[in-house]
Amino acid sequence: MSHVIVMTDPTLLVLASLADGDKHGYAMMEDIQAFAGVRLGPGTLYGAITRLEGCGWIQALHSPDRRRPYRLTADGRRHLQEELAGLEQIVKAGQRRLKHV
Amino acid sequence: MRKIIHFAVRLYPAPWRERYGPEFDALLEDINPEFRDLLNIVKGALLMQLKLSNIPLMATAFALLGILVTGLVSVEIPRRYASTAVIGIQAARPDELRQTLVFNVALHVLSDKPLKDIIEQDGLYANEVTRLPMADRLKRFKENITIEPLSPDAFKVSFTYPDSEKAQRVTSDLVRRIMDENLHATEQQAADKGIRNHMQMQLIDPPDQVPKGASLVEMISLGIGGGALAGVAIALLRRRFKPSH
Repeated sequence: MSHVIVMTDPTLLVLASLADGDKHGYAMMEDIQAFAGVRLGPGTLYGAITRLEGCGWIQALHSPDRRRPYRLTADGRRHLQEELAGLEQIVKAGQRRLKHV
Repeated sequence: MRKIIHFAVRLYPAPWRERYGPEFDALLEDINPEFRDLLNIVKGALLMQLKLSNIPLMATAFALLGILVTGLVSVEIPRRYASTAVIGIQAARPDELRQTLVFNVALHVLSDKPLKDIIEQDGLYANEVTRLPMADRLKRFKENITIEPLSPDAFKVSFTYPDSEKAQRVTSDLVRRIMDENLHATEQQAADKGIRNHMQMQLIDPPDQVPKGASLVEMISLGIGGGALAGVAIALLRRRFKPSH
């Protein structure tokens, strides 16, 4: 794991949102609010989308509508799994330590 | 709000707008943006400008930020005024002795009792009455008074305060007290030792009201210049150290 995971990291939230299927910007925003309780602003959401597409972790799909959907790539799925594993490790360590105090 | 949002979206770099503009507009139509979204879009646009290092836009954005910061600083920091008077000295005494006589007179006028009287009479530091005891207000008052020689024949009396009229009134009061004290000392010496006219003082320049520190225009100019330079420097640094991937 090369960097610290922040639980409200917008890129992680976008990756998690796309893990169960393709979504456009508004659908991602609604989904993230529903599963994480975090409302990403439009600037933050598209900042994350720009970064993730630049890294090749998500890809834009062709659409006749302006609302262009995005899909998680294989690299993006692998990266999300690594991030979540790291997060899980932190959660477990934190809970274990809390029990011992 | 929609017009302002539309303007804010234009702050994004052109290549970004070309790629993401239509879908970003569609998202904004779906969410019915609020004020917090406007701030979020401006922040996103600035970060994207930073990422793509558009030098003229970065310079403009930081210059605007500079105007905002210096404008706020100017409004927050109270303006101060220095009121200065010049008193001339006439005495058939060596220069060093004149300065000593001035020093003695000033020492008497700047003692605690007369200064406390001025603080109370002019309501100085009224906002700090609950926070600062009289001893601290007195200390601040002394720090704001300057008495220093300008030449062998003249010295200046100056007081700095946020209220220009009070600054001028207090300086006039200090000048009057110094001249009265000198007259009193002269008469005392005449009575005790038969010496007359040991030193005569006369007001050369009456107290004025001069703003101290940089004006709003100067501060904003500084903000524009400093902000633009910072923007160019950051854009160049970003360009130089841009990650290769």
